[in-house]
Formats: sequence, structure tokens, C-alpha cells
Amino acid sequence: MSKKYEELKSRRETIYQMGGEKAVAKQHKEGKLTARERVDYFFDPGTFTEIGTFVKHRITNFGMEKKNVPAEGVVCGYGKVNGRMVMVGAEDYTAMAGTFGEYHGKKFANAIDKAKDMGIPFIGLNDSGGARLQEGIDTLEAYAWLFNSQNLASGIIPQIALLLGPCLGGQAYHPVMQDFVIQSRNHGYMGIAGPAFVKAQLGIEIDLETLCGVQAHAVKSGCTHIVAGDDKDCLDRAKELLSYLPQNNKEKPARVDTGDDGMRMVPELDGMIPEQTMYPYDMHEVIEKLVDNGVFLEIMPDFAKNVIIGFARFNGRSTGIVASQPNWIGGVIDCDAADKVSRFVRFCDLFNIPLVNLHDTPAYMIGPDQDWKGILRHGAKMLFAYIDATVPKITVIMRKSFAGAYLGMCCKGTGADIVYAWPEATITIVGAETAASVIFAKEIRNAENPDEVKAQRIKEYSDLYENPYHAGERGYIDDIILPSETRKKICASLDLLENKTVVRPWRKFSNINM
Amino acid sequence: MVQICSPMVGKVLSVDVKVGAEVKKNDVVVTLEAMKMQIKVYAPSDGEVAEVNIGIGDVVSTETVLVALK
Repeated sequence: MSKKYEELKSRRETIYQMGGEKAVAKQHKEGKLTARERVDYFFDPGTFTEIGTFVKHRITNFGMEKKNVPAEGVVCGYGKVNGRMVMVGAEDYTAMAGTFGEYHGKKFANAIDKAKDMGIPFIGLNDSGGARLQEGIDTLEAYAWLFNSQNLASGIIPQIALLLGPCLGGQAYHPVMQDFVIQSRNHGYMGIAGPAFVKAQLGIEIDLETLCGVQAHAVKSGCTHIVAGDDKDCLDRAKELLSYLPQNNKEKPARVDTGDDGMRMVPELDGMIPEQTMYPYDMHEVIEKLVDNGVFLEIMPDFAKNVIIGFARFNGRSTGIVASQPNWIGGVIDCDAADKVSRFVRFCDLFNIPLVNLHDTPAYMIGPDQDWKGILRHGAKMLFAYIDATVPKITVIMRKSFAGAYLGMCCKGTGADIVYAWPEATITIVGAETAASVIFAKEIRNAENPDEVKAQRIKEYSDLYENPYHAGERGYIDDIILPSETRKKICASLDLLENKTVVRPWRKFSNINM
Repeated sequence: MVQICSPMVGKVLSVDVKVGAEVKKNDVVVTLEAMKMQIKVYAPSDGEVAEVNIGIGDVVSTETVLVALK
């Protein structure tokens, strides 16, 4: 073999060894795969093509000139995932703790640029000790390149972040700015600062798991979308999520033959939910009965549980589902729920995924707590998101839909193409008791028998308005249907809306309340 | 000790456990009424009921510890 070929072979070999035997053994001992093992597991066998293998930092200060960081601590490249081209950037904790330096950042940003230009999804596998402090401004500016690249790719290609190790400091904006964050409950951590900084600057003692683990982000902060177990589980969840998404914003998600008949009736739904609007029930059971084969990929299942969002299929079509959850704080919409729904609606709109909205909500949450937290500006995001969205939107009003929540969950006037209501539905401005006590206050006060008059007026209002028929008479409801017909109606509506187009006058964007 | 706080402002409709009772994760411990809905409050983990701090008709907020488990 020629010397030149031998040199290539040996240089490659060194890079493929990553941080060396000891560092790899340590990674394995922590229950983690190496970056290259993760990449191997993720892609269809033999399809991965690496880019930037030989990229190297150029820092000479603090002894860095002697420091060899294989592949600059991030393995980048593309390959096929279930036959579809996907780009990854996989940080290598064994190579100088996967620290983020100038050329590490450059490789990462270039991979995203390439993915954007080629219209393929980008998946980031985060496992890094943070900024490479030896590089000073060079490392700091590289973060800007990364954020810039991912921002400019946002809305063009789906971007998914996997937290497979630490991701702390400003670097944590990288996963959060992507479309979905999948966090490993075993060893995924994210935060604006780790425990050491928090102790030094605030005097608070807190451990890494509590500050930055899955409880912190999947339950409290709402930054994490999906929690999974070990590396393989996280990678499997990413593949599952990808199956619902298109390659880019010019395509529709692939339609899959699920073997479930779109015209299937669902008799179990008739009489399944309590008619008494006060009683809660689990909306998951309704969703599972409606969608193809009962398969539902829930997003953010542990944050703002009063609404449910996620992906499923109707007659093989990938569909975003937004549903009230009466089982958790009555399915009322609070600030967190509004944030959760609006970003999901905008994601679906960006990537041509139709929306199905299932209403059973009493209202936007009232009271000083939520009003002062900004329920008006948070709730407004849902209105903006639904009205802006041009994808097919189908609404089913199952039971309660009152006041602002009727508008915020997507009604005819706030963007729904087709609206169905169940016979159980009560669709009106407020409940009969509230309405009667306002309209007939004087009459009730002056009556000989106020209780009798009040009860009579409440009944009158209720008979007239607490039903789906008044909205149906005005055409705000396209049809009132039996629950058992719902799946069939949704599938037929998606057929109708398949090639829906919307043309609006040019503007930069709507001024959504951020 | 696991303290179960009210998830929202509301009125206590029923207390569904007694001191000394064993509860499993996701068992209903208290039912509230708010926004014209019944709000079920669930046990976050298995345990024995150590304290019940509220009674029917009480108005509770997110600061109120309804029930404590040990």
C-alpha cells in the first residue's frame, strides 16, 4: 500500500478511536453509547457518510497546540433513516468532554446549513461539557453561528434535539430552539447554568438531577417534549417522531397504509363521555378510539396536562391533535396550556400537518393568579396561531366550549375549515346560570319569588342556548354528528381538505404575543 | 412526607381519603369544584395519609396543602 494511503488509514483510525480506550470505557460505564455508536444505531446500516472528519481547532494558548481533539468533539454527517435522508451532529463526550469550541461550532452549524439547503431533517445528539474556555471569544462567537444556522433553518426543515448527556449554559439554547427536545431520563441534563454556578452566584445548593433533569424540564419548565430512557430508546423515539414529519416545509408528511379503515364507525364513543358537563373523564381514551389503530405519539405529556397535544394518523395521514383534558384541572386553558398548544399549532402549520381540535373546555382560566401571570397575552397566542395557520383544520366540539375558549381552541371564525359538534355539546357565550343572573338581575331581585323566577330564566336560557343547535342554525357548526361517526367525518374532511390553498396579502408576519 | 397541594383555586367538594388510609399513585385524594368542573386531585406517589388539612366547603389555593402522605 502506498505510504499516502497508509497515512490516511492511520489518521482515520486515530479519529475513529475518539477520546481513546479509557475515555470510551468511562462513557460505557455511565451507561452511555459513544457518539459513533449512536450514529451507527440511528442510521440504516451502511448509509452514514461523515463530513468534516478531519476538522481541527487552531488554538495554541494554554497548551492547546498539543491537544488533539478527534473530529473536534462532534461527529457530523448524513445517512438514511427508514429510507429517508437525515443529517446529524453527534457530540463526542470522550473527545475533550465534547467541549464546544470554534471549529466544533463551525462543524455543527455547517451541518445544519447543509441540511437546510438540501431540505432534510437535522438531529442533534447533545453530550457536551460546555464551552471550551481556553478559546475565549472564539468559542463564544461560534455559538452565534450555531444559533444563526438553526434559526434560519427553523420552519424549513424539522430539527430534533436529543439530550443524551449534559448541555449546560448558553449552549442549552441550542436544543431548546429546535422543534422538539427528547431528553434521556438516565443521563440527559439541560439548564442555563449547572449546580456549581448556581451555588457560586446565588448561594443555592441544588443537585444536577433536580436542577436540570427530566422533572425540571418535562414537568416544570415545559422545555422537554419527550422523555425516554437510554440512548437507544431516545434514538428510537426520534425515529418514531420523524415518521410523522415531512422532509421539509415544501413537502407533506408521507401517507402510510395503516390498515385502519377511514370509514370505520366507532360505536363505543356513543354515550362514553359523561353528559353532566361537570364530570371529568380521560380524553386519551377518546383519542385512542378515533385515530388509526389507537396509535398516538403524545408530546409534552407531563407539562400543562390540561391540554393534550401529539401526532396520530387518520386514514394514514399524519395529523396533529390538540385536545382539552377534562381530567386535569377541568381542561381549563391556563398560561402554560396556551403556550403548549400555540407552539404545536405553529409547528404543524410550518410542516403541512393538518390539525384536529377536540373541544371540551370550560374557559380560559380566570382569577388573579392567571390574570397577573398574563393569561391574556398567553391565551392570545392560541388565537394568533390558529388564525395564522393555513393547514387543514378540523374541529370537533364534544361537550363544553364557552366564551374565549371556544375561540381559542379554533372555531369556524378563528380558522376551522370544518366544525362538527356532538349532541352533548353546549356552545355559547357563558353558562345559563351566569347569563340569567346578569340579564335578569333586576327582574329576579324585584320578583315576589326570586328563586322561582331565577330558575325559570336559567331554564329558558339553557333550553335556547346550551346546545349545539343554535350554533348549527347560524352555520358555525357544519354538522351535528353522533360520536360514533366522528372518525369517519374527520377522515372524509381530510380528503376534502387535501389540497387546500390559502392566499393572503403579503406581510412579514403577524405580531403574535410572544 | 409528600405534601399534595391544590392544583388550582377552588372549593372542596369531597375529601376522598381518611388519615391512616393507604393510597396508591394516581388515586383520587380530594375532589374540588372550580370553573364549574369537578377537579380530581391525585396522589403523586404511593403512601399512607398522614394529614388531611381541609374539609368540605373550604376554599383552597395552590398554596394550600390538602393532604400529606408518609
